[in-house]
Amino acid sequence: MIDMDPSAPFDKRPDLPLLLAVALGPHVTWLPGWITVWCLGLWGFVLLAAHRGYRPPGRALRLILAGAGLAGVGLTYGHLRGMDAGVSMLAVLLGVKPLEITNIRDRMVTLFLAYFLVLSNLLEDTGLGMTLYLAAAVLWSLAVMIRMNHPDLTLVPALKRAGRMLVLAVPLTAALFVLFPRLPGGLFRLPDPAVRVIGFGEVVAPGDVGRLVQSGETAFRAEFEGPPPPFETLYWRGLVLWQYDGRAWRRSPVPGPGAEPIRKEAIHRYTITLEPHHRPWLFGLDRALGPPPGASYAGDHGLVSARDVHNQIRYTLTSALEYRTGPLKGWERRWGLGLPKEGNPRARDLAASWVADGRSPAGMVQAALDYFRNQPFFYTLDPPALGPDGVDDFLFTVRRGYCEHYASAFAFLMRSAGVPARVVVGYLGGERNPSGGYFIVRQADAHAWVEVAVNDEGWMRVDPTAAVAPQRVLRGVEAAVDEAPWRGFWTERRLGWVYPYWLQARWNWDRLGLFWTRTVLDYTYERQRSWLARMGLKTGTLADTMKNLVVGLAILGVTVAALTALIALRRRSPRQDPVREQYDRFARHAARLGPARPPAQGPRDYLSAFSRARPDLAPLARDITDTYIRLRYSPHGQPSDRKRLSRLVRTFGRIRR
Amino acid sequence: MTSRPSFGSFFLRRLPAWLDRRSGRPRVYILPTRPGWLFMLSLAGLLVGAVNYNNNLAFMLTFLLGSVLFVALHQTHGQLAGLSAGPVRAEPVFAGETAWFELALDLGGKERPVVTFRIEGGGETIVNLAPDDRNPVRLPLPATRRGVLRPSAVEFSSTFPLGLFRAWTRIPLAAEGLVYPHPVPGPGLPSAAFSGQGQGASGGRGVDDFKGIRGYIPGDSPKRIAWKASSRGGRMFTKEFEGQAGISPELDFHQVEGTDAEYKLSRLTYLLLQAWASGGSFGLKLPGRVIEPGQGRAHRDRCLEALARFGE
Repeated sequence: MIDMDPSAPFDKRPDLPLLLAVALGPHVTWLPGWITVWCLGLWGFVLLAAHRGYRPPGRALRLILAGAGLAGVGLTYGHLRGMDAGVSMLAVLLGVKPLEITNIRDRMVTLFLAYFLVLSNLLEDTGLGMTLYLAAAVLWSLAVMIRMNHPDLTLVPALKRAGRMLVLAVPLTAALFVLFPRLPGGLFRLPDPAVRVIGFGEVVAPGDVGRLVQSGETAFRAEFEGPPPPFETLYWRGLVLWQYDGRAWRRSPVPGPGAEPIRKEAIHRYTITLEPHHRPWLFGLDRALGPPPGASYAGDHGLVSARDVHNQIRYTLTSALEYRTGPLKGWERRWGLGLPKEGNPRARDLAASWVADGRSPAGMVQAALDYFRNQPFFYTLDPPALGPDGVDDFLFTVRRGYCEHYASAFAFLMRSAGVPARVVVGYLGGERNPSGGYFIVRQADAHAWVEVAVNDEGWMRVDPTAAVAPQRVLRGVEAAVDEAPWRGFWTERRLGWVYPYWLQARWNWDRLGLFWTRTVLDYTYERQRSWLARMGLKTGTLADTMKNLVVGLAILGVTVAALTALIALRRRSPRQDPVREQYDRFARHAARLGPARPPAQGPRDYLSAFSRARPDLAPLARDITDTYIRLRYSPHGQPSDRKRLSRLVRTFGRIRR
Repeated sequence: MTSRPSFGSFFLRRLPAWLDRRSGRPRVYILPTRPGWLFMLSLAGLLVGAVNYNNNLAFMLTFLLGSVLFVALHQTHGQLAGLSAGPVRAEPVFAGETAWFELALDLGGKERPVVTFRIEGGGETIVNLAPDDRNPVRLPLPATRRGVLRPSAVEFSSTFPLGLFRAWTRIPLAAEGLVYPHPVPGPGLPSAAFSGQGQGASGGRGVDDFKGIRGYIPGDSPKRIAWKASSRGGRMFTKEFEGQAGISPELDFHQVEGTDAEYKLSRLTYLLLQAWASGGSFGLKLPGRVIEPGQGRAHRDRCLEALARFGE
């Protein structure tokens, strides 16, 4: 290997800092800002130092820097556990590492460490975009390695070579990907890969749904088998929140599994591709008839996966849009009426007045909805803060809020009036992707509603938001608010005539991403087993799978070896020696026109023999022979001579008799 | 990097470089470099992460890098596979100079960047070989002592493209590089050593009349170099004085003062070069070998070779 100029302590080329920046890139959205500044600052310094010829900082200074960085991470997080702190530490150390780089080995080690930063990006987010990111990062890293080992090589040839290596690596990668045994669970406990959780938690406090609605990120995609149901029935049920503590609603572990509804109509079957949200809940249309494999169906009809969802997963569900769950169980009635001992006296008085009026439970639901409809309530994503008696504030003074406020207040009123009620959070609606015909459900579609039990038919859905902002239910959240914060920069107003094209491009991209997930990324333990079984391979035990891996790789190896040999054989003969080949062609033509060349005769001897027989062709033959000899034996052979030789031989070949 | 792969190479490099029985070509050995081992260690770490988080993109990254490692193994091996060495020749040099062995290569029509050549006992030479390169590779070997350099082998190695593997091969050489004795200036030989007569008295160096300039020969005193003339072109010239030229000496080993044979050979070399440069005819008389007086470069080289091979 070639060592760099020892007088220049740093590599002048921006290869490695750029690779580190690529590895860091996707993390910038959640990393503490100072770490980004730290890394970019130090890498910038290294580049500057390379060009100005600064001395590298001493070992002591580097250690102090690394210690300071780690201390900074500790202060920022208050601990050094978990994926977020781990990635931060790695980033901080990789910020310092280039300062000590003086030889190739150190640079290579830095490069290998950068792969771990790339990997942590992949744990955070999956999908087509991330796949392309992965390919780009690997391509660039290979080009950097190639240039480390060949300092004279410019960027484009290095990238070409790296690209060729990648292409050659694809078949083996594919074989390993298909055959390498997947496990149903993890090996051992490692830090949760989540560094940035988006979605619903166990507790929904005021403002939580509002925060979700700000985000344009996709929660999941749903593909229907057959025609999709009408938009206003797309209630994607998530968590059921039972406990109210005067401020927040909380989920409770429910005793026993869920029972099938006693009546079910409007059945739809569909597949959900859920983005990782690092929690176990699964989402399905209200109401799913059973859990997908690897998940359970709780007593409140919430779908809960056995493990936290850290990767994109796909599951198929059947839902009945119209259903009756039947009479409530004892615990359901008890939980559905639970309230804090005190607080929100005015709301309790309002409910008491309905009871005093002797209304039926259904009448009380109607009374509450009428209250929302008739009083000046507004649907807004930017409500004012509420005091300690939040429900009272909302119902009687502020009267501005979004689904979560309406659902919370409504459920409180119902429980106060003695009607069992519970809050359900999930998503409502979604964007129909015209290219592909599936629904994209975003965090922005997050919604909260209420289920009440007014008679023996059981729980039924009531959406108080519909009383205030029917367009939210009928046409989606964008129709209900003025400004859609999750759109970010990409609004119709800003983009103008470009907007439809942009929308179309986004839809196509999304569809491609779903296709990629469906065909490649969703390759799980179960799918691997069924796929290999269809290929006629045994998958019973890990030993079987390992055997498949070995046999598969052996087959691939033999195939590649055979192909390589075939290509080599085909290439070898004509490519061996173009100059010699030209001369042989001349000799073949000459044998047609005059004496043939004996196998061992030298070119000069053959020339004189040929010239004696065909003095008319002698000058041309001499020219060819001289050029050949010059190319072959003299150090003065020029590339132009090669062209000349082939031109002369062509001319010679055209001579008839 | 000059370090060798540590693991196992110790034994392999000591194996004789026998030729592959079927292809007749030298065998190419390959082992991971230290960064190569570290790369594999990193891959193991990535794989653990992928398995544990059951993340298919992480699997993809790991397998892609693993496959790239395999491709690199193949390509690094291919850097040397099919590379064969043709004839080797070296221009004679004087002791103390560097001998350049010119190695003609058959590249098999393939581009082979960053190949390191190391001739036994010499330093490393790194060459980018383009497919239509016809120029031989020039490998330096310090010629410290008079005699014949016979490097037994040349080692080719390469870590290209990724530096994760090092492939190497040893090709046995049958090349000879003549090392003439280092010319040592001094007075001419006593008159008896000359076949000419009458000029012996002025045979010593010194303050004779300026006669002209001639080409520089190794061993000429710096004081005598014609700097003005030398500065005009690439060649060096030496001033010549009356009394040095025009002699036709029979250079006799036994006539040279001193007892050390090597010293005597060095002195003879200087005198021989001087005699040749002045254009006269000269002969050489060594124990067991006599070269009749003659003229010209070929004659000079024959004499120098006899000096180089003396005692062989």
